[in-house]
Amino acid sequence: MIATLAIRGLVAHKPRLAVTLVAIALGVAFVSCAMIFSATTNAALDRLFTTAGKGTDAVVRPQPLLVGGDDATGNADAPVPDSVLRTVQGVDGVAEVHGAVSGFAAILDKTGKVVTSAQGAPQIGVDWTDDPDFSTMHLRSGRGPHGADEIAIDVATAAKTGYRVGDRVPVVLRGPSQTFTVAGIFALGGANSTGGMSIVAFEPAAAQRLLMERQGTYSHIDVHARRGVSQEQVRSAIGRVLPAGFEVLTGRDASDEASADLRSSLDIFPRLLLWFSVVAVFVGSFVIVNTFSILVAQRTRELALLRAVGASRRQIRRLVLGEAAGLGLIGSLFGLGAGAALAAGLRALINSFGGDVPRGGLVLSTSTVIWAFAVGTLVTLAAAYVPARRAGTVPPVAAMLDEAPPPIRSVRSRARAGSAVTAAGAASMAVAAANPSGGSAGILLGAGALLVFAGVLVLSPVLGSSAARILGWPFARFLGAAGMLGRENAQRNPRRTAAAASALMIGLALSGAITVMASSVKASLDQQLDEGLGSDYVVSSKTETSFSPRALEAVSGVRGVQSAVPIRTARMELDGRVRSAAAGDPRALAAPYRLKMTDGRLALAAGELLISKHVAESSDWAVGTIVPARFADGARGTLRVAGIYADPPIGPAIILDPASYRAHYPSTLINQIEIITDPVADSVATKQGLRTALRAWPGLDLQDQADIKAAAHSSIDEFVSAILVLLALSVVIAALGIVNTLGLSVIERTREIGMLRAVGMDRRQLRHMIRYEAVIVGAFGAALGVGLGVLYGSALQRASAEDGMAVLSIPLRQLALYLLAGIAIGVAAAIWPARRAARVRILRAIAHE
Amino acid sequence: MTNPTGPAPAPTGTGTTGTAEAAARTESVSKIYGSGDTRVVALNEITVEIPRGRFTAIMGPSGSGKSTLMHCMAGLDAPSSGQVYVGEVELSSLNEKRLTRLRRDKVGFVFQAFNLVPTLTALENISLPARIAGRKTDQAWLNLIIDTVGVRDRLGHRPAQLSGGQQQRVACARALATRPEIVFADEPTGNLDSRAGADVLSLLQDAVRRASQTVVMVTHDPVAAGYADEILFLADGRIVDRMLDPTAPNVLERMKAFERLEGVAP
Repeated sequence: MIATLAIRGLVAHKPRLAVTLVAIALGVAFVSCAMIFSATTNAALDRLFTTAGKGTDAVVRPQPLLVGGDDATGNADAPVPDSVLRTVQGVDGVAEVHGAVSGFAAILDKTGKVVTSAQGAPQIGVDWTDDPDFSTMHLRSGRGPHGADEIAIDVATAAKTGYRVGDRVPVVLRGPSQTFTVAGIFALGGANSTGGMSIVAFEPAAAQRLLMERQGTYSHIDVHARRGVSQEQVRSAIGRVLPAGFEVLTGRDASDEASADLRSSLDIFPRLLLWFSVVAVFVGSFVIVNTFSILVAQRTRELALLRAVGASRRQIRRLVLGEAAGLGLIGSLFGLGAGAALAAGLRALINSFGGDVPRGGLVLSTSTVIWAFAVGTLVTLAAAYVPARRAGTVPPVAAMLDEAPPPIRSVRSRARAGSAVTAAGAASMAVAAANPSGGSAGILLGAGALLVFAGVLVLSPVLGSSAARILGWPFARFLGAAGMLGRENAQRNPRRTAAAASALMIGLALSGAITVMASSVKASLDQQLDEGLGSDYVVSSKTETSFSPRALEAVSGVRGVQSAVPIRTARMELDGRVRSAAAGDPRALAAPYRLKMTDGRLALAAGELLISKHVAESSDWAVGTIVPARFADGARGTLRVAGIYADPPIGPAIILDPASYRAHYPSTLINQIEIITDPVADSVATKQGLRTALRAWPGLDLQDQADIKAAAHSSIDEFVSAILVLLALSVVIAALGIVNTLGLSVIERTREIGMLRAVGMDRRQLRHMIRYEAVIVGAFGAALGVGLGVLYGSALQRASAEDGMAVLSIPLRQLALYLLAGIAIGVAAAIWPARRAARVRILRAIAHE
Repeated sequence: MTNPTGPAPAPTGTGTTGTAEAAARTESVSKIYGSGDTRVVALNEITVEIPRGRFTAIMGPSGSGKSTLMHCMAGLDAPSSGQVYVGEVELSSLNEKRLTRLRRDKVGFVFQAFNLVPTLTALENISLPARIAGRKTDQAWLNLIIDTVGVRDRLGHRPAQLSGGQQQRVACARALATRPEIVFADEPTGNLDSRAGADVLSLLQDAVRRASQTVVMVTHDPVAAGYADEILFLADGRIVDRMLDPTAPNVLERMKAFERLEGVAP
């Protein structure tokens, strides 16, 4: 019986539930989009990698010494020498070996720009082999490269750039760019995708020469086992004879590792999406709570009648929850469908922005379906629980009463509880912000932020009525009867107003916090650059790889350049901890980084270090301390601290003497060049000169301070706008909540609206009345959200002040835009309810029969 | 206090000809719902005139069409045929906007269910039509109305804080506040006990006698109808009788007579 009633109830309230259904479906759509996208790309990557490296039974490679190595193009510092290749060749069970070469090689597109991917996948060069035992590269057109002048490129890059067989193509290696002829275009396995990488294959001898710093070395060795020898067997056989510093793993493990790398680069999208779908679902739950509360209030008489004829409280509760479950199921179904469409759209979007997400049919796994329905149904049920309980408490006698006004709950106890929780949260955040280096600062900050949020939610109905009064004042004062009534309506049911506004608050609070953070990061970065960067230009690689010292020679000779300082990064283990140091003459480094010594002297002898004050304090080292060290070549030794310098805003925390670097780091490649110009030289001419000198190096960027700032700002802005786009979904759901609340209120006030029409209000005035109410709700939500956002953003800034976010910057103009957005959302949300109100038939509204 | 728009009231006899003295009138107004087997004639060729400055009651059993007649005369409903005039304005010629303006400026309403705006105080409710029109209220007139309905000490209260009788008196004040051509009252005492009902009826009477307003009241209560200057009796969509200067016993007697003649048109 209860089930029948629940189904009838759902059908009867169809129009009232439609908006809620959309809110549920949107939340579920985001969740299932994330899962479908992830499953689909994983399936495609699996196809890519199970076909990849099928014949490779084992891989021998240098053992990564300093875990956390960041050289994505292989361990160029410590390649595999030919002697190891010969050793492996002689192992019993090994049929064939292949010394593979790989390194940095970036194709330039027809406009001369390095081909990159949205997900930041690497640009690699390899040696060409079409031996299916060692590589899945197989030609789609043309032939393999012969001779030093030819290359083959992957099919995805060919499609992206429009290069065809026979084209002359510039390729950036560690040195200046060189031009090659495309001899062939190949694919990896059966896929058209490389997961975003661009791959250039050279003829093997050329690959050795171009990609490896030393001849007769390899990046790794691929091994093909003899028939009947398993991957594990051949691995342990090789392991027994392998010299120290090298490792062997099975082909399967190697390909899993490679696919995991790519997967994690593609996984960012679904993971981000999942986070934002949590926000969306949370916001959606506010809409659901509000809808069911209003529905229960409107059906008091009907529910009381059921109670009067003998239904128990539990049955009433179940009736409401049954409706919620039905709504949740239908919403989940719609959401799942929408999610699949979104996933397909997302893939197209990423690919259109230069990403390379493998194609293939959408994968709808069982777990996606289960999750979609679980999220949609359980969240709806949970959100409907409180209204359902309230429905159970409707007394049977309410059936006999005239429309009873909703019971007014104690505002005072709510105000007291809300204030206490908010204050506790604020205090916790203040403690964290005041003492950011304390161990529990992060926890205090997070807990405080949650408490403030909960407190504001509790307080919002209390705040709602005064906020509506204040925000509505100009409407009542200047916009006539419609303004007055709009303001009164916004105050009428503070709980409803508050719930609708809170949903909006969540999205805007997150947006506000992120905006404040981003602005603070930019301001702090500017300050650091202003204070700490002594050089006039910085030359660095666009692809974050190291490059040939010949670039240094090129810029050093430019007229007007006073000094050009190469920066080489040395990774090493100091006292058991892996750290990055800059290697070089400290006197040369002092100018670009404005180093000031606080102890010791600005000079390094062999086997010495300079450290920053922060390193000295955190490691408890002083001048004269002997630190045990382990270098990238595996050698161990000790380094003596020769001096301590004040923490530079920009610049290295540790400086290693050049002699030790030369001894332990065979690579001569450099990571960055700092250029200081002659103050009396013509700056325009100098810049022009530098540009000309670097024309042969399209992979390198020449930036002055303003360029560095602009580049940093634009990458921060890009990141922030991506997040704002994702947060916009929660704002849309919140807007739906306002639509719903207003729409239900209009239904509830049909009689009143009819009366207003009867006494002479025209449709336009009526629409205005609804719009003003919506604007007040929107402005209230936006004000709460922006307020919270500023609070959160400032607290985060204070807490990370010592981690490089020293400046708090509150972008007032952007925050004002958010407030305006709240108002605009109100206007938009009012469209449908206002139309509905304007359509109310006067006679039907006032007739009493 | 005189009505600025009309001459002194003159009682009319059978009054079937259109004159400038009518506050509202109808010419052959019919209202038909549905068609074929489900066809219902709610109003059947009614021609009637509501004299200015008089208190007119429309009586009849349920389904006689009295509410429909009132809705048509007030511009809330459109007749199927015939013309309705409020003052000299013919309603079917008005578009939605002008009709709304006419209701706002020339017509007042009192409903059975009071229909006050719950968020507004009594005074705000009373001045609502003027605010909707964006006009300043005539303070002297407003004071007169407030005193006539006797809610001066309740002006700052919201409807929920008022009794039913007080609410209906506020509703009457709202209807009179714009100094309308005509006030329509739809069963104004239907939700009230007899004492509160009597208060409301006397104040409507006062508004007619002392402030020269025109009131049309739909009711099925003989006692309420006894307050009117004239009663129109409706049955089956037609005016079947009228009575001048009625008293409650007279009305009751006439009603009984109708019940005996049920279905027989005069």
